[in-house]
This record gives sequence, structure tokens and C-alpha cells, in this order.
Amino acid sequence: MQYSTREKIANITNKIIPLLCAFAVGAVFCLIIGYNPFEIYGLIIKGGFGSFGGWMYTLGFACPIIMTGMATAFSFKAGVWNIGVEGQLYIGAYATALIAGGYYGMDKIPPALQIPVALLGGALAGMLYALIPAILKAYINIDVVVTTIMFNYIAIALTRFMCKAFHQGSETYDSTEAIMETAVIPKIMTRYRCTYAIFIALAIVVIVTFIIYKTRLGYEISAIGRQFEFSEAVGMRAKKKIMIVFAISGIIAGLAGATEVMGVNKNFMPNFSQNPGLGWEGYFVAVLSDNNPIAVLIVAIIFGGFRYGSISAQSKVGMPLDLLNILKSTLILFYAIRYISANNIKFKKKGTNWMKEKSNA
Amino acid sequence: MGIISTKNLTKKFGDFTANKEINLDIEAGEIRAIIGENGAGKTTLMNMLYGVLQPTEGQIYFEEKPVTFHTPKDAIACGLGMVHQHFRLSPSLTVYENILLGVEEMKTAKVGNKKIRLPLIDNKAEYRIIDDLVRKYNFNLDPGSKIKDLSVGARQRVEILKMLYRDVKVLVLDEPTAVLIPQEIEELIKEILELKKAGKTIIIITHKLNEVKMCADYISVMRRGELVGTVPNDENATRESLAEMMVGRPVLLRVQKSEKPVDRDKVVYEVNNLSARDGAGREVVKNVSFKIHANEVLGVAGIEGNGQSELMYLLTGLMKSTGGSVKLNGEEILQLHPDELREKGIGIIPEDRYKQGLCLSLPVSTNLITGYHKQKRFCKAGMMNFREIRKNKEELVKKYDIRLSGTDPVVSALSGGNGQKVIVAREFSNDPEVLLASQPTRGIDVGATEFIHQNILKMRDEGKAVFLISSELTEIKSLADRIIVIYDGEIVGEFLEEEVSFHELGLYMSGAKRMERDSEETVDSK
Repeated sequence: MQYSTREKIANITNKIIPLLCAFAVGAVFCLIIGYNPFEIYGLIIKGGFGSFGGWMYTLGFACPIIMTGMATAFSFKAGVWNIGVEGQLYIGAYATALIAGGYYGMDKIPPALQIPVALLGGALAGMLYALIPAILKAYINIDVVVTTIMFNYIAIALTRFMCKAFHQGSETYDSTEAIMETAVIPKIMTRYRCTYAIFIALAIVVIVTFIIYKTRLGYEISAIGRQFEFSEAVGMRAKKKIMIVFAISGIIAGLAGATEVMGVNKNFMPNFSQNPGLGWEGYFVAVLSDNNPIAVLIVAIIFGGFRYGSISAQSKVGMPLDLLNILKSTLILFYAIRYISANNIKFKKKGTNWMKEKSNA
Repeated sequence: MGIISTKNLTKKFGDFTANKEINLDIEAGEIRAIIGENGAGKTTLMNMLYGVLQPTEGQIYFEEKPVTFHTPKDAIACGLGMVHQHFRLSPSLTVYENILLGVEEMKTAKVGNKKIRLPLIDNKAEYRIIDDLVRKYNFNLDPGSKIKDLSVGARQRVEILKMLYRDVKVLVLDEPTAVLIPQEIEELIKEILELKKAGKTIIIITHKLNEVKMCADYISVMRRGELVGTVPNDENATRESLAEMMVGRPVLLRVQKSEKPVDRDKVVYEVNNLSARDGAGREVVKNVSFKIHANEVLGVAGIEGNGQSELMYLLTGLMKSTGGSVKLNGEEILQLHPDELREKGIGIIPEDRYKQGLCLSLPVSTNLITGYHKQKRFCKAGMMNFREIRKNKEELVKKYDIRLSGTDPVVSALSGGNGQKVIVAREFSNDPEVLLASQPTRGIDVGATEFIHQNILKMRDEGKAVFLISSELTEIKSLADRIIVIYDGEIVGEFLEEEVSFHELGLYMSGAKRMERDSEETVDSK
């Protein structure tokens, strides 16, 4: 696809302005609670990206967000508004916790197979859960935005109920029993959060990029996402393709849950996804990166860095973690505004610049 | 200076100049036609005169005074009214209610010697006012009938009356004949001449040359945003010379049909008793049957909205039928998906090119393969071969003379004519057995129209069957070998092209006449 210089300038400007605005709003909150915003931002960036250890933590936090971001971006690319990644993540994580926890005779199979089987289980569970709204859409035409959001809460409540009713993982909080030692995805370095799951995340980025840009499915998906009526009229069977998109999106979301359970938490807790939720973070990431897979990777790592940077800033100067959520949500808010369009940019040699044009209008 | 004139009127949208230094001068009591291809800037010019758009530079003069219209209301108050191509009427209200909408006559009551306006509409007075108006201009219209019961031509009269009631001196008609049948066009022209007698000035915007020749005093021609000239409507202004002015080069207004006869023995495409209902359960296609032979173009004439769109949806697999059959060379193909139809050798030019024919935000190269993208050439084992797709684009762009800005722009950057050429190139290059085309030249320029017509006829001569739906009767008459007329979802007449006149077709299209038609006994078996 070609972009003119103007479109490029407009694109970049439209991404930088919201970032600056979000930081400005964050700065106001910093000042209100009595911190120097420059110091805080410095600490966050240094904490997240300033050292090798920081990077390893950053990647650890980024890993599930990369996956949920890809799950969301892939479906959005097809014009399918799967906002249910959070729910698919919960179901995937819970299913993995059961399988890796040694239920259903899983402890009997060879240890080398336990990790793949548990991952597969999580992926399948996520897929099946994603297919429910897809089927509702295909057969009785229920809007997927509504169903996927509602299915998030069903998934969260259901898994919490299961933990309370059937599992006694811990004396002090609700969770499943710890998973088998042999089913744990090991950390790359024992000191840092990042596990080998990061490679699964990177593989997903590569595979999804390949599907979108190189395969027929990807080509059809991009046509369906851009113009549904057109894709139906030329015989792409858009309705069937939407089911496939949901399935793939659900698989990725399920894997995100599975790797969190098997790598980081080693059991399933109903609040493992944390505020605002890994699925929602993935949604933010997908929106901010215009559903471009490579951009998803980059933005997810930045989000991971902010997360770890904020934690370290909290431990150093006592900055509340909520500042991070303020930053993220204002970022989304400002991102929704289109500041300039390519048509408004005029280069000097052609006369007036666009600011003048605007003030004249 | 005349009643309305413009000086160096210019309109820019960003870098794009839609109108460049237009100097127009129209005398009071004149009928002025403004012609030009789609995209020549006619509508932009009129929108500036009517206050919808504000000029970037230049000045409009009305009765020799400089004026600035901020909204259409200003224009109407000054005495300039416009009738749009798409009517703005309320179907459930009567004619007089529509005309007086917003300026209703109220009942008054006398209290002492004061008159008080009551919040009640005086229907009798309204009817009388409009009845007088209708009589004054000699229109054929009943003020009391409801809009939904009126024909398209009558609705247009209501729109014109709406402006006349507001006492405009200048009346602008935007593509007034686009939706009318031949009889209605004749009546419209009579009315226009009547209005001229009453001292009104009339501006007609159109790209149809016939009607212009019939009524205009002067003809202004626009091309690419510029006014290329104004000529008196005399014998020197032939349709050919006007078309040349519009396009900038000589054009064939009517493509030459070849002498090659229709192959009556070979039925390629056969539709029997096809029916369908819309979402509301209304029967929109009723027992439609026809055959198309090899070397034949079958034209479907009809006023828009008589089931043509639904018929096309049925034939292209986008709508469910309630009965009937469609056969290609004897094989049943009813209700196959569009991709399966294309595999069987059916080319499709859909009615709405920007919704169904093209994906606007995808580049030309990928648009040129959609529908055929499963072919081995473009796609092996589920992987797209983009090198082949680009090569295919290079070939087709050259062969079909598609004009691109840049190497592979998105389709939305193309003009309507070039966009349609992308569809034509895609469908024709796959060498279909049957071509289903709906409105193939709607809204595109004369040059591209000529090109598409030639290609359709070439295809016919190669032994293919062509099914052509068009709301332009001239298009049907110049391309088709046989014509069927659709009215209210039914086929009401079938003719050989050379045996039927425009007038006769008009009668069938309006439902005034119908032919009792047996599916077995069609024209060709006589």
C-alpha cells in the first residue's frame, strides 16, 4: 500500500499528539498529589527500559499483552469486533490450570508432553468460548460487540465460582491448586519475570503477520474488514470467514491465559488478569497500533515497560500505580480524536499552510 | 448583464479545483442548459449558486447586484430555486401539504376587529392556493392526491411547484430527466416551455444531449471544472459537436452493432419462473422467464425500482429465491454463491460499483482479482502470489486503458469511469460465458461509456450471452438485440430491438400497456 508524504505526516502527528496530551494530563495528576512529573516519568522510563533487568521484566509483563493485542487486532482487521478477549483469556487460563494441575489423568502422560498438551487445552478452550458469540452472530444475527462484552463477565464470574466451589488452592485466597512442576514454563532467568512464553508470543506475531499479508485468508479478511458488502458480492462467504476469525482470535487469547498460568502464576486465580485486565490492555494496544501486527508488538512492549516502570517508581518514591491507568485511558481518549487529515496539510511551496487555511475557514 | 451571472467563480477542495474561473451570464427568460460529463463541476457550480457551497474566489451577481448566499434559504428568498435530482417529498402527505410544508396557511378568527391566527391549518385554503398555481402554469396535477400515489414525473412537478410557490425567478433543474420515461420527458419539456412563457429563467443541468437540443436557448459546456464555451442552440450545435466539446475529442455517440446474427439455436442462459420476496414478504420478482442465446445481448428496460436490483441479486446469488430455475447451458445454477458462479463462467458487473463491485480502500491490483483470487495463478496452497497479481494489473491496465495516478493506488482515488473499467477488466479478462451487467455505465463519462459499450458488443460477437439491465433507454436500444420490459417485478413485454420505438417502450415501462406472454412463446420462436 502506498502512502503519500502527507498521509505519513498526518499519521505520525496523529499518534504523537495524543501521547503528549496523555503525558500532560498525567503530569497534572502528579502535581496534584505532590510529585514532580518529570521525575516520575523519568523513573518509569528508566525502570522499564533502563537496564537489562528492566527489559526482562518489561518483556515478562508485555508477553500476555502481545498475545491479547494480536487476538484483538486480528479480529478487528476483519471488521469483527471481538471485545471478548478478556473472557476467552479467563476460560483459556482456567482450562490450562485444570489440565496442568493434573486433572483428567494428565499426570500420567510423559512430562515432555505436558506443556504442549496444556497449551493446546488452553487454546482450544479459548477458541470454543470465542465461537459462542460467533455462532450467535451467524445464525441469529446478534451483535458481537454486545455478546462478547457480556461473555467477558460470564467467564470471570464462572471461573471465580469454580474456584470458590471446587478448588482449595490456598488458605487465604481463591485459586485452583498449583500446577504440576513438570508443566511449568520456565523462566529465561530465574530472577526475572520473563519466561520462555515470550517466544510463543513472538511466534504468534510472525504467524499472524504472515496470515494477514501473505495468505488468501488474510487477503479475504482485509476485504471483509474494509467492505463487508463487497466481499459478500464477490463470493468470499464472509459469514463463514467470520467464524474462522473468531476461532483464531480465541486460540490466541486462550494461549495468553495458558502462558500466564503456566509461566507466571502457576495456578489460576480469579483476579490474575489484574486491573484493567490483560484482555483490555490488548484492546488498548490494538486500537493504538491500528491493528498492525508489528505495531502491536512494539506498543505492547511499551505498555509492559510502563507497567514495570510504574511498579519500580512505586517502590522507590511511592507513586500510586493508578497513575499508569490514568495515562493509558487518557491516551485512548486523545487517540480517538483525529487532529489533522492528509487533506489539511499544505506544503509551503504551494502557498498557505494548513494552520492558516483553518483559521480562515 | 443578465439576471444571474458569475465573475471568476472558483471553488477549490484542498488542492483540487472543482470550478475554475467560471464566467456565466444568463439572461432573464432564457432556458440555459449546462452540460458536461460527470465530474466536470456542474453540480459544484450550481451548489455555489444555490448557497450550498461558498466560492473560494469570485462573485455571484443576481439582477446585477453582487450577492452572497450562505444557505439555500438565502437563494430562495432572493428568487433562485433548485429542484434536486433526488426529490425531497413526504410520501404520506398530499401535494398541497408538501408544497406548503413550513409555510402553512393558518385559520384565522376575528375577535372584534382583530384577526388572530389559530394553531390550525386551513386545508381548504391551502388546496385552493395550490389549485390556482397548478392552473396558472397549466400543470397536469391534482393537488389533493398523496405523493406516494404519484408517478415520478408528477413528483417532479410537485418539486417544481414548491419552488414556484416561493416565487422564484430562476429555477435550476438538476438532471431532471434522469428518472423519467420518454413520455414524461416530453411533458417536462412542455412544462419548461410553459414556464419560460411565464417569464421564468430556467437552468437545466444534464449530461443528456437529446433533451438539451429540444428546449434550450443557449448551451454552456463544462469540462474538468472549466466553462469551455457557450453556444446558441441552433443547427450548428449538433449532438456530436456538443459531445466533442464535453469530452475534448471526437466520440462515437452510438456504437456500431455488428452484422453478426444471433445464434437462435443455442440457448446459453435460461431463466424460468423466477420469483422472490423481499424482507417484508412483498413479492418483488414475479415469475420472470427469459432466454439468452449465443451472440445476443438481452436488454432489460424499466423504471428504476421495479425489481431490477432484486432480479440482479437473484441471478448473482445474493438473494434467496422462492421458486424457479436458472440454467447455464442446461445446468442448474440457481442459488450458487457468487464465487461458484464465476467459476462456472459468469461475469458479473454489479449495479452499485462502489459497494459491491470494488473495495474502495484496497489497491487496484487486488481489486482486479477479487472473485477470481482462488485461481491457481494468484493463489497456491492458500498463499497469495503478489508478484503475479501485480503482473496481472500491469497487463490489464494497459489492455483496458485504466488511468492510474501512481503505480497501484487505492480504488477510491480513481474516477468513476476508471473504477468501472477496473470491474470491466476483471470480468472480461476471465473470458466469461455469460455476462450479467447492471447499469454498467451509470454516472461515468462519455469516453468510458463508449469504451465499455464497445467491449460489451465485442463480447457478444465472440459468441457470448449478455444480460444488460439499464435505466438508460438509449443504452438498451443501442446495445440490445432483444428487449424485455420489467414493471413491478414482472416482465410485461418482449421485443426485438429494431421493432420497437422509445415511445412504445415508455408505455410498457409505465405499466400503461402489457403483453400477454407465454414462457414458451417468445419472440424468437415466432
